[in-house]
Amino acid sequence: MKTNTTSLGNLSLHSISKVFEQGSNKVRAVDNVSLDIQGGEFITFLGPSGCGKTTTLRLIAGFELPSSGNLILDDKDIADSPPNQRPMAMVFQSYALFPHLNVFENVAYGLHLKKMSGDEIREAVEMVLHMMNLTGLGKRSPSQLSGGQQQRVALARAMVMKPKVLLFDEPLSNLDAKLRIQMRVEIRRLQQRLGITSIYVTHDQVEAMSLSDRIVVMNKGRIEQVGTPVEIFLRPASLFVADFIGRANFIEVTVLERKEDVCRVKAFADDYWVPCSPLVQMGKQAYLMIRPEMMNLQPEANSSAQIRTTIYLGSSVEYEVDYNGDNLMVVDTHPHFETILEEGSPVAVSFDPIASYVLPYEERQIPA
Amino acid sequence: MVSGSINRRLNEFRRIGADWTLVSGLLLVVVFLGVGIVYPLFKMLGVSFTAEALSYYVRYFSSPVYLGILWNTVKLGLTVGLLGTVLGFLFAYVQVRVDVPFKRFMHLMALMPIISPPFAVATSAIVLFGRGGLITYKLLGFRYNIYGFTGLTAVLTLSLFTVAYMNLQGMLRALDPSLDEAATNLGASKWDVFRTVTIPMLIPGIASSFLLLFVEAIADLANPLVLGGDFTVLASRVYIAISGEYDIFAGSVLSVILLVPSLTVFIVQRYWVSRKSVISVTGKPSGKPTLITNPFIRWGLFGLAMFFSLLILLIYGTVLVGAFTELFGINYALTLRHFQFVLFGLGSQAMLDTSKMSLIATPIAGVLGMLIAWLVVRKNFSGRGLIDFISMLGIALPGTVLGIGYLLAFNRPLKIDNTILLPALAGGNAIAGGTIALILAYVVRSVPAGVRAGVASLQQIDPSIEEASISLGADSATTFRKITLPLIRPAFLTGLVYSFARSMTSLSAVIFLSTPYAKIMTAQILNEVDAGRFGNAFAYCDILILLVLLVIGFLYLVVGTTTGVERDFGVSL
Amino acid sequence: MIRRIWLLVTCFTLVAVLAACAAPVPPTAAPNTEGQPAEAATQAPAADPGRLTVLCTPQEDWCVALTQAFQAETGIQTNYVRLSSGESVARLRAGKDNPEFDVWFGGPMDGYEVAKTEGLIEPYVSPNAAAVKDTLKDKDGYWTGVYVGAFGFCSNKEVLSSLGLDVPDSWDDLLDPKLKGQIAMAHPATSGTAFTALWTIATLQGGDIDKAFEYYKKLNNNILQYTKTGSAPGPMAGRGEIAIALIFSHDCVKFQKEGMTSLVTSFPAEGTGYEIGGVGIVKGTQNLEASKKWIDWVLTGKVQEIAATVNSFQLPTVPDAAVPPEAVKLDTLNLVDYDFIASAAAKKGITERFDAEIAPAPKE
Repeated sequence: MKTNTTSLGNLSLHSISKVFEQGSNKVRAVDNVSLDIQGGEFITFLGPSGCGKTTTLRLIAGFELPSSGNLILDDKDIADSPPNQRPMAMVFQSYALFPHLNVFENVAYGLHLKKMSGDEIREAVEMVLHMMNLTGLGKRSPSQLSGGQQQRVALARAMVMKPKVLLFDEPLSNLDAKLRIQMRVEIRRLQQRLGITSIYVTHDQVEAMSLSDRIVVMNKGRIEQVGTPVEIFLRPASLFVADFIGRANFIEVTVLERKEDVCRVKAFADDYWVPCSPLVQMGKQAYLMIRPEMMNLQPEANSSAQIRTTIYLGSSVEYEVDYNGDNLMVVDTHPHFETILEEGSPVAVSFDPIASYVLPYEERQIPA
Repeated sequence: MVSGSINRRLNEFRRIGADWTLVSGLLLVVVFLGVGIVYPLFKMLGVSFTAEALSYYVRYFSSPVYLGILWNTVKLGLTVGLLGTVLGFLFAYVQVRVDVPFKRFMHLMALMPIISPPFAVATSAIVLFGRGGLITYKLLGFRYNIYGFTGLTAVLTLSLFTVAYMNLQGMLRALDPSLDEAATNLGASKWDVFRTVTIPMLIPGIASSFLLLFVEAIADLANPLVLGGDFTVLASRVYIAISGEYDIFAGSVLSVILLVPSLTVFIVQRYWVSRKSVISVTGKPSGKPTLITNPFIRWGLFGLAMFFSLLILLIYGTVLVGAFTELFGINYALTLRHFQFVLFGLGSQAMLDTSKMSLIATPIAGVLGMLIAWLVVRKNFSGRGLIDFISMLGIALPGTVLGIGYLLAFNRPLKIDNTILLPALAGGNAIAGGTIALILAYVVRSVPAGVRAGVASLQQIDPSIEEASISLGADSATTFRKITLPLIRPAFLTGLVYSFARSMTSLSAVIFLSTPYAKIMTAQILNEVDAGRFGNAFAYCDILILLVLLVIGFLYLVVGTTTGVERDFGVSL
Repeated sequence: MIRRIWLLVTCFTLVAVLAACAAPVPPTAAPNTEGQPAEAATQAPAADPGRLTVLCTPQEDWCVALTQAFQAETGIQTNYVRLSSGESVARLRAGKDNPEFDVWFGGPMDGYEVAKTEGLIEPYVSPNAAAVKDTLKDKDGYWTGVYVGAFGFCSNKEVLSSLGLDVPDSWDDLLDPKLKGQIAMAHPATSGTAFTALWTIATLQGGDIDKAFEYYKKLNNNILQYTKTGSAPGPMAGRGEIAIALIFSHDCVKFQKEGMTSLVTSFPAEGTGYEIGGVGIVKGTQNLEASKKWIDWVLTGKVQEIAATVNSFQLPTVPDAAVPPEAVKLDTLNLVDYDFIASAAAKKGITERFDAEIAPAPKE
């Protein structure tokens, strides 16, 4: 299955920190980050801007030097080796195609530096251009290509190097929505085919979900959580993760009872057994996280909850519900003529406890 | 925390050490700046603060005559700064915002002073507007005294306003027309827009033009020597002190006195005014600016700009015709003897020496300029700001100050315990006849323009393009050569063009350094002008302008098309 | 594109290398020949006649004519730099340890006296110097006179008549308020001509420097500009920019000859100064033999006659040189008793005082 001839590409970050000094100001852009990445794995760093994800990527690439910590690639510490000597290739947000070279020369650039023969280079470049659906565009200059094509050239240029690790720095953020989805699929397909360890940085959670084997959620220079997309979405480790990945309602609750991984809490006037975080303790305050898609509304004349706004989006309807003064967000993903509720109508609220989660209480500092 | 910081520094050094290009590039730049600027400057400062020199300060600051000279210098700087900025603004505004014919012609006339030697305007002005001048006396019949403050101010303004023109023209073009549209939309008249939008947006540009002109005006040596009359300024005093008496104490002390206002104004311009800029000059305009249509304003501005354009044409026309004239002003018979003197006579040595030294200095300055720009913009190391600042001193220091520094630093070998660290570089008996000090001076004076152009150009280029190259396995040197240099080609060309023009036309920094084996064309022109042999002076000027144009043409041909370059051309700081 | 840049750089490097090769190579630093027997230099192979760098003070075209003729005649590669007298002394002072010049030619004797006192020139008594009168050379042989010229007023008669003035024939005529801004002279720091004028005035005041300065101060009110070179005011008068130039009379005649026909020469009745243009060997020269040859050569009649061919009508100092008809007749003039030994001693003081009190002072 794997066509790359290079070896594993296991990458470990050990307590990596990066401090930037601006005058007397010190900013800890990356704070004690440790992570093991398996060969062939697709890892995404996800987080809001300024969370340190790009800096971490640049530390791995070697464009920045860690203030402390080690970087181990296949049992070798590469923290000090210059970026051009690391077996990695990077795909940039701005594509970073060489404007003065044509497509072929762009892709061949790294191979020339490897002192490969002209024939070998031609063969390798043709192959990768073919793979990327760029056949016949070799003579074009980058400015004559569409955004999607430019992105594919950038990808081809990195791929042709057969690196042990491919690095992606928000590569799709300059594309329009449709192309983005198309390229997402293409990247995932290629990565799986070639089995190259890939590290991808994005702030787009959908992108992260659709591409990654595992997602690393970062905030303020630290790792909040590492996990598969499902774990991240359904079992977030913190309020931050829960809120950053998808949307969520948070309801302050008291844990009434705990049995292994589930807790009993009282919400919307009923008791529910809900999966809960290991950190949640009986009798303590906690947050019940409910995804808007996991909530149900039923018209009920006497209910004190009522619909504040109704937004029809075609494939779904979004409701804002006033529940005793609190705002709840509810999404109905199967709207019909009959089921769409009008603004002002009273409703009864319920939810799917299996798809929800109880998080330990913490000071709320959730980005709006 | 301290150990962390030390650790970080160590890391930085380790990293720099691993990148041999960075090491050698940095080393080259540091040695160049150290030898070319820092050492001579300190040598000069050293002399100016010896016990013997201190008495000069007392003498100068207690003498009303010298306080007068100081005031003259400042007054000249302020006036030329003001008038030059106004003139530059007029040309820029007409160029960008007024719909009139002959814009191209006016643009060329405004650029003319860059490529011309320092005496062209002054000499022409004497024969045209002096007491016996063709226009003032022969045509209008009055004897106008051009020598002194007014004549000097007029000539300096015409010689220097190009800096303001280029600066303001760039800013006016970058001014987003939608701002005008927004203001008009809110009910502002054209005059309101000019007053409340255009001018406030341009204030940093206006201020910085004014300050740059101030620095150039007080540092100018050529014009005060030829046209000063009884109006004495510091630069010409420095010249008399060195050339007439070889009094290095007086020279150094006067230099320090001249250095203080120059450097202060330069620092204010560079680190304060330019930071206040609200326009990014590089930004693409998002529409076509509305042009002035009111016929009175339109043709009024046209008339003014045309008047000055024609004046410049007349002045340079005189430089051209005067070279073919037996004795301009008295005997208009055609002759080729001035050209004979410059091209084939003993006057040709100055022309050849200067051209050769400029040709050697040009590529060195060009590459160094790009290298410094690249280090400053792209590389992260301690002392980056310092390197940027010192490289800019090459132009911020008045030429005479640099010249004295060179004289003191390089006339004798630099020895420690009888070991020669650096042989004598200046003077007739130095190695290579003193040409090395001259070439070094040319390079030092030219590098800043290249650095500025390079920095501006690099800041527009996405750094990830270079990172992509490194990520693909190229080292810094390969990346600089294969990616960076081709991308900043227009800036490189600007650097080359500017440094050749600058070298060929510079006087104040090199006048003390000329030797029997390395004669300088501008110094020779000064002799010709001073001795009243205007024909020879004009011929030198013509040849010099022609040489500069030829080399510029050659550079365009080899390095690239005129796209973009023409815009960059003349960006001085 | 990359290739084009490299092509360019290569081109430049080529040009630079060629230029560097073609650049004249100065003599390689040899041990100082001071005190070395003269014979040592004569043993140099005849194939290489050596080289000579002349510090030349008179009019530039004279320098050109002389150096070209000398090179043609002797095969010695001869180069010159023209500097005014004051500048020349300054330049010799700057290069005292390591002189870049071999001989100094021309300029008033005051400068030579200063150079002699400061140890900037060394003695050489040319066999040809015997023909030069004792009053026209240094008794110790440091310098020998090569020409004589008288100081005078060089006026533009048209400008004078438009001012309603006659051609001046007295120093007092120069103080007429009508002449405000109509007179030019050189700066005594750079120019020997200007110093000759100052010392002449001082002599006429009986050597009282303070009284002389009173005169300078009054004269300063009428001065338009102090030029760098002594003769420079001449063309200013010739072009009608000023009425009177204070220069050597032979320079005035030269400008007349060269087309500035409005010029007229006159002399002050109270007495005028004169110069003995000197020649001397720069101390520590690397080319002693060539330098001696130069001095022998300029003390011959035919060489001194070259001056007139480039319109320099100074009086020659060797008897077998023909006196040009344009030259000044010294016996018709009232010459002051110009004590150049005293003047040289006073030169620094007067120049500095002038530079501080007079030249930069505002006009009244």
